[in-house]
Amino acid sequence: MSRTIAYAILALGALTMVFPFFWMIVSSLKTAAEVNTTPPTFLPESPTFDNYVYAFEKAPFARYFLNSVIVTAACVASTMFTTILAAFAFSRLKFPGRDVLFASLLALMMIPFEMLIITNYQTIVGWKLTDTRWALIIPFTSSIFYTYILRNFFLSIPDSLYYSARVDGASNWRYLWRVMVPMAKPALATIGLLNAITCWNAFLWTVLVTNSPENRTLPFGLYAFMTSSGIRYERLMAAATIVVIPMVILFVCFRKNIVTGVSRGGLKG
Amino acid sequence: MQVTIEHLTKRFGETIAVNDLSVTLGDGRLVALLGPSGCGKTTILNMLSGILPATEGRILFDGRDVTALPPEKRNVGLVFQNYALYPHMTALENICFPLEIKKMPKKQRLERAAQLAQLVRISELLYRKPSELSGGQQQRVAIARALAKEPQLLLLDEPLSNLDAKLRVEMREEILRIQRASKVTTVFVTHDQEEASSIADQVVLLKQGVLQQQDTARKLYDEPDNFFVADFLGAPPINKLCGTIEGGKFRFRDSGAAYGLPLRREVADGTAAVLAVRAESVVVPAAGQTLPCRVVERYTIGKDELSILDVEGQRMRGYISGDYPIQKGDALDISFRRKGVFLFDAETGERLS
Repeated sequence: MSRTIAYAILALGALTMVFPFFWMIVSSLKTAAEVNTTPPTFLPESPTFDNYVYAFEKAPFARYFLNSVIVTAACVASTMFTTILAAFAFSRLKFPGRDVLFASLLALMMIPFEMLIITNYQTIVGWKLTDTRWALIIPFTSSIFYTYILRNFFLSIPDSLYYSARVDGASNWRYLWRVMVPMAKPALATIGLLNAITCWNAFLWTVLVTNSPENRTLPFGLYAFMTSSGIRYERLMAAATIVVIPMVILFVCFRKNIVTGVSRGGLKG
Repeated sequence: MQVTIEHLTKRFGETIAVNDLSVTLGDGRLVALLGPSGCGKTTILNMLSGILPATEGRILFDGRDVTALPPEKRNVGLVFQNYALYPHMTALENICFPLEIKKMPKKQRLERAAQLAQLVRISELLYRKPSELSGGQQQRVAIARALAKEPQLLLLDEPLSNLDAKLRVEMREEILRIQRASKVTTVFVTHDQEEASSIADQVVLLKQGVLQQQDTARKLYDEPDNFFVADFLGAPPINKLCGTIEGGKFRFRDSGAAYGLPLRREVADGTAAVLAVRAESVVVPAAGQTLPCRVVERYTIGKDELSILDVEGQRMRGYISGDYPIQKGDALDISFRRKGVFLFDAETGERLS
């Protein structure tokens, strides 16, 4: 009995999560006329991919897509690199002021991103990088939050592995890339995925520092769909699907890693 | 390689983990660092490997001062208590790791790994991950990895403590076999006196960071320098009979009965003393100096008949042959053999006889 109730609640939860997603895809396959009928049809009467074709043919949208890919890849790659190095330093290396420095970095996390926009903007203007893709990448090449997560993961790796590697002749650098990083794969996959989603969806900063369509990314593209040609829901939904799909694929690919990260827990002694 | 430790001291803040230790570990020997928990054994091991810097003193490998050298330059192999295998690598990759760092060509690496796998008898397990190996197998892999770069010194930290009782006996013989085959000077840490006695060529016994005695296990057992050594070695533990020294003889606490042993020096009358007697040093039928006693309990441990005796109001254990017909409650006379009977100062632990 209690099982049935539990399943019912879970099913309801799942439905609320999935339905908007489902509605987006269904709507993107409808014709303009069908989208606006009342009462709405549940499944499209004659599914059409015209909206997708339109979305891609509307030239900047393909460009936005490419930009999104480039910016996200660059941000994730650089963030991962700096995060790994910083997390290693803060977890394994001993240097004066390490813990104070780390605590002050954590304190910086309290400052909301919106507060930093002005100073970041000034920096970008100062470097004459406005309206370039660099402007979308450079402010996002490191992350205190991910460093914190990864540092904690690194701290959970027993000291004996480090000393063992040192006695085996490995340098810190070698140990980091041959032992720690492979062991931290689940944590890295999680961080990478979260990071990719954040970059992919970044909107405010993108609008601020870029003007020309050559340098803008997908979220702005969606925005353009809403304003320039009135709201054509079926086209907007097709565009939204295009925006979402890559992240879904990425998630499906890394899902297994994230799950093992949670379930593996410790090391067998 | 011969390891010489000179006046080695390690302090952690106020606590002294190792206190002015000087000892020489023989070339090609299997040496046990023995002592109760917290006596500084592992600290010494870590200083030998270079993981921990020494506070004072020197460590010499074949006369060469290595005190300041980092671990990677000492050419030692180290096996941790938890084995510390890299969990994402197979047994083979684990063994090859030190060789890979040495930039040995892959073909040679694999050959060497195959040899070592044969030595530690894990040839058929090379492609398994550590999580798919049992404790004993993980340990074999760890030993193979430590031996891979042909270290001059092999260090084992509590190598048997994570294994079950049966495997422990088997693995300690394996360690002896591997050490004899590889001929590398080996130091292992243990708190188990039986483990140390059974395989070590040389036992270094420590208490609270201070060296108590170092010699062969036999010598430690037969000729302990102080009470701690006598008490730490042997199972069942050595019997402790309390009393005082009066007129150059030991007198039992309650009864005042005397037992004479040749003393090493003049001892003042009234000095509190412990007559320490090994269970196997009890002789029945009695001859020479005899002591009356009563049989309190009698039980069998494996092949032996162990009796609990009441001697002058104090309890002690003694092996009395099953051929000798005694029963619980019987009174009889016993005497002690010369070997395995010692007199210690009850306060300082100094050996008096």
